Amino acid sequence: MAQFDQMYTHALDALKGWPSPHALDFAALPASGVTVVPGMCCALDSTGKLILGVVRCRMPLFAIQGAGSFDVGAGATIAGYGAINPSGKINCLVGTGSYELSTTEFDTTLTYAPNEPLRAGTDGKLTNASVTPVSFTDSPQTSSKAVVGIVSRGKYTNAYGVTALAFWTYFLPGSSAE
Amino acid sequence: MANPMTETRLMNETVLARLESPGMQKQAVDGISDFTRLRMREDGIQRRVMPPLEIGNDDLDRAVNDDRPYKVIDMEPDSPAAVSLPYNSLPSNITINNRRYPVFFERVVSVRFTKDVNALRSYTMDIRQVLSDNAIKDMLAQEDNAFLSCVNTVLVGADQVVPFTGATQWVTLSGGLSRVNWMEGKKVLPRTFAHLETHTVLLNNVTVKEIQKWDRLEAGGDLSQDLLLKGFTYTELDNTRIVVTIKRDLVPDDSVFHFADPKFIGKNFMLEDATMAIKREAFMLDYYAYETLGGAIGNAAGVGRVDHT
Repeated sequence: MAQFDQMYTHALDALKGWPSPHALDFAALPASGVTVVPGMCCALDSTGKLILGVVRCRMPLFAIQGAGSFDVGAGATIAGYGAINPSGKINCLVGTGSYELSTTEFDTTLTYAPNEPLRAGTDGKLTNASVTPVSFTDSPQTSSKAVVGIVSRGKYTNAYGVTALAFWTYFLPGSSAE
Repeated sequence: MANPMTETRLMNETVLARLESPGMQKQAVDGISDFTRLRMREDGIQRRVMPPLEIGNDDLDRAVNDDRPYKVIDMEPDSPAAVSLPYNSLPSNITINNRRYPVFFERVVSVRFTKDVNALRSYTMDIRQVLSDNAIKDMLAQEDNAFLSCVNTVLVGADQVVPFTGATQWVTLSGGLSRVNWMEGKKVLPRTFAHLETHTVLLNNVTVKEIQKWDRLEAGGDLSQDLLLKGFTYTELDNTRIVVTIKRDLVPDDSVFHFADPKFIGKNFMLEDATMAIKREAFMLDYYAYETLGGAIGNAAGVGRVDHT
């Protein structure tokens, strides 16, 4: 029998900095063919729609909802049916905001040490692969990849038994396409 | 005789004093809804076509993987036609199943207005009316935008077949909005398998002038004279409700939307009606309006559109 996803299977938790009426967030529609799940790192394409991953100067946007969330409602397709509400927009926390976040959408096969920079791949997941500087104690970041966060508490198992990665949001544009 | 400007300024000071109560969120449903229904420039289109039903927590359905509100609606089951059989024959079996669809909810919010309270002291107009009017009007406009976007999506496109019904329900008719074309437009909904009649038509305040052009022969009797002398003041025509809107960006010129009775279209739920949140911290005031609603078109056969070119 197929396993049900729970509401915390894919999640973005704000450990610090949100919610707040003054928090920097941004809502946008996903681009055609793009499936966003909560916790993914996205960016805007040239039409202002969400795509997965961050390269160059694209602003990181961390998705709070996913396409199937009931307040996004992009998942239901039934003959003769149309959803008046909701709008399909996904709300995201902007990468230049002051947050410590915890996401389920990262490369769980790697280890993460505090202060390691993170990038967002084209699958929308965070990883420290290919962004680690020569020495993360006092060397500058030498990779050409865009940096979207800095590891804080690192990888851990949250209260729901799901592996998550805690990091501070931080944006350093990169020069490479991927 | 009392000076009206003095009275208005006094009223503004009273309102300002109430707004300055620290840390209070005001549930403004009664005041806003009564006032707005009387004084809004235009009521919402969706609320006139599909009047909202109030829904509470007890009416909501629960899901395994999402704790956000939603509601599952059953459609009327269809069934194959009856057949005639010779003796010693039994009917075929059909397992009872039914079509359902979800109604999801979302929050609609106005912008958040902020101001230093000192900058409000110089206003002589009724700021409460302006506050509630603008915020509620903006939310209703967003409701209408979502509703008509959904209608257009369900109809697929001009002169395209709607897969659910197998019929074209967004029709282009040349020759303008004549009486003949009005009746041609009324054929759109009955042409589908559902055989629905138009219960409400929606057109904008420019398109309605085409009806006012109908001469005595076209309109029939003194209606033509009345249309000229009194303008279009009718709420019904041809046994059909007429909704005239000023939102020409949503209802284009020469387009007429046709809607069946709301029970044949879908659902429009109001989970939390319009509320004004007002907060003051020291000398900074901010306020915004919000509501929570959910709607869906469950039966594509209940909507239609005619573009009279």
